[in-house]
Amino acid sequence: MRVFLAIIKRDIKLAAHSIGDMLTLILFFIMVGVLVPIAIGPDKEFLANIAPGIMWIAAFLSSLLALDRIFRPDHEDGSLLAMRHSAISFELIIFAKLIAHWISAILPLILATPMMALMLNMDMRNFINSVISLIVGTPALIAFGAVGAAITVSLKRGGLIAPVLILPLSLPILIFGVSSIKINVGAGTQEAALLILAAISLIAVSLTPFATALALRLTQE
Amino acid sequence: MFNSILEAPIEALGPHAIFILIAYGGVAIVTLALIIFNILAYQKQKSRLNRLKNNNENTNLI
Amino acid sequence: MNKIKQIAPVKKMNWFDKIAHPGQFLIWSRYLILPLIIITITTFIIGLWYAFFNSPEDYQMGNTVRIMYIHVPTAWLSQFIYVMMAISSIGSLVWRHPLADVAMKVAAPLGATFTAMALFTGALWGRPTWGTYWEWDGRMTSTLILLLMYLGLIALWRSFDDQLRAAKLVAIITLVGVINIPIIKFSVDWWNTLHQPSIISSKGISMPPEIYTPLFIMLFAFTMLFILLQTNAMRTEIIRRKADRLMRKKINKNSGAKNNV
Repeated sequence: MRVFLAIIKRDIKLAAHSIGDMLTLILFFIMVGVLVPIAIGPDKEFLANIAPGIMWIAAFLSSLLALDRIFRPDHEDGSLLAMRHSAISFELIIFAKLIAHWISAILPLILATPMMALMLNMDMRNFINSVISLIVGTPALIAFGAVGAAITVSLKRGGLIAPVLILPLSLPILIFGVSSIKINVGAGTQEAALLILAAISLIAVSLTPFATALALRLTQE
Repeated sequence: MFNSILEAPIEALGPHAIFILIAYGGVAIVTLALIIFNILAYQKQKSRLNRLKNNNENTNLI
Repeated sequence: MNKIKQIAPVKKMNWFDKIAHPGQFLIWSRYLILPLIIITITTFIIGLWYAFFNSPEDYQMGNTVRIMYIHVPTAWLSQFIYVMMAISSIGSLVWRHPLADVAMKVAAPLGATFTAMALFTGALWGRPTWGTYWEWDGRMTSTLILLLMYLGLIALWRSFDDQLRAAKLVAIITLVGVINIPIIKFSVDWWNTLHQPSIISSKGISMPPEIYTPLFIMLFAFTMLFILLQTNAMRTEIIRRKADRLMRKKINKNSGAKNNV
């Protein structure tokens, strides 16, 4: 457990060192929110209607943008190789890295959602729902993303191909994520979507570390 | 000329003949392309292997 | 890894190793090609004859039902090929079998082509019967996702230089995909019923024998076509790897000679 926490701490510290990356990510997230009204038109009611979808698409794209950061630096400087021979199992280490990545790359986005909500004219209930659905759904997004990142870590152009692999797989997250925000779809569906989203997140987070560890082991063979 | 060839099947197949013909035609073209590509790729690799083998024998002789 | 390679020739081969060894495969599959060509061509001729001249019009769809005879086989292949790829990837990950690698690699472009054909014929069938080329219907959407997954896998294969390592990594993502497919299917169905009640239900018609005879013949013909193309593509890939090995050997030899001088 101590090793586990130490790895989380280390990764967060490393991320905090490159604070510029984090700010770029938030900037990108907000920019999607700026682009959509400009592209579609400033009709407030319409914007409020499509806001949940835009919120999720922005989170989706930003998390894909950050994917490459999970394993690549550690792969290049060899620390990933060292971690394979540590006291705890490699799968657990990857789980720790996922948690650290969530805190350093996704949490800032969630903290930036109020601005997004203002720009898209979301009301309070929609906003709270969207924060909840992002918190519940993004772990699955990262879990799938980690598999893609691990598979492409040895490629120079990996940053381009991992999103293409991951997007179709993470479609369910987008579907349930958006439906768990919308309040006017009918009784019960929103809660059901949130529960299914939580289930997908739990399954993905508990199973994908094994696939990720296998991919990293094969890469370093 | 094209019209006269297509006239008979279009009459026989009824109002939506054009969809049926495009569907079958499209699948036929893609399938043929797939087969031709398949054969060409095989021939290419086969001749490449033979060339390399012959080259190797020659260098061994020298 | 190197150790295993040294031991391998000493180990006595059982019948499966003999059949599945790439070199052996190259020898025995040669005798498979001609029969497969004959079977494929005959079944296609019979199937097409049935499809156009020996099957009735549907009482609802009229002649457009004939599109079904190519739509259903391609749609079936699109799923069949993915399952085959998933089984090969287990073979590649667990037994590290080179033939499984090869099967997996050459199946992806074939699968993508058949999936694209299924979407294409589906759109052309949908226009006259439902009045639209595209509907965000559960089945169509998940087929589209399947096509995207195939294309992603092809892109991944092509981005690796080391094909041995690529095989294992592609196998992992193929298996993750195959576990995910039911979830995607479920989510898309759920999403679709949320959006609008489906207007489309004409797919559920029970079929009279006059219609399913040509359908089954065409299913068989397309599957045979796939097996033929797959076998030939596997042979091509094995020969290509052989040639690559020879080329590397030659380059090594030449550069070695230069160094000596």
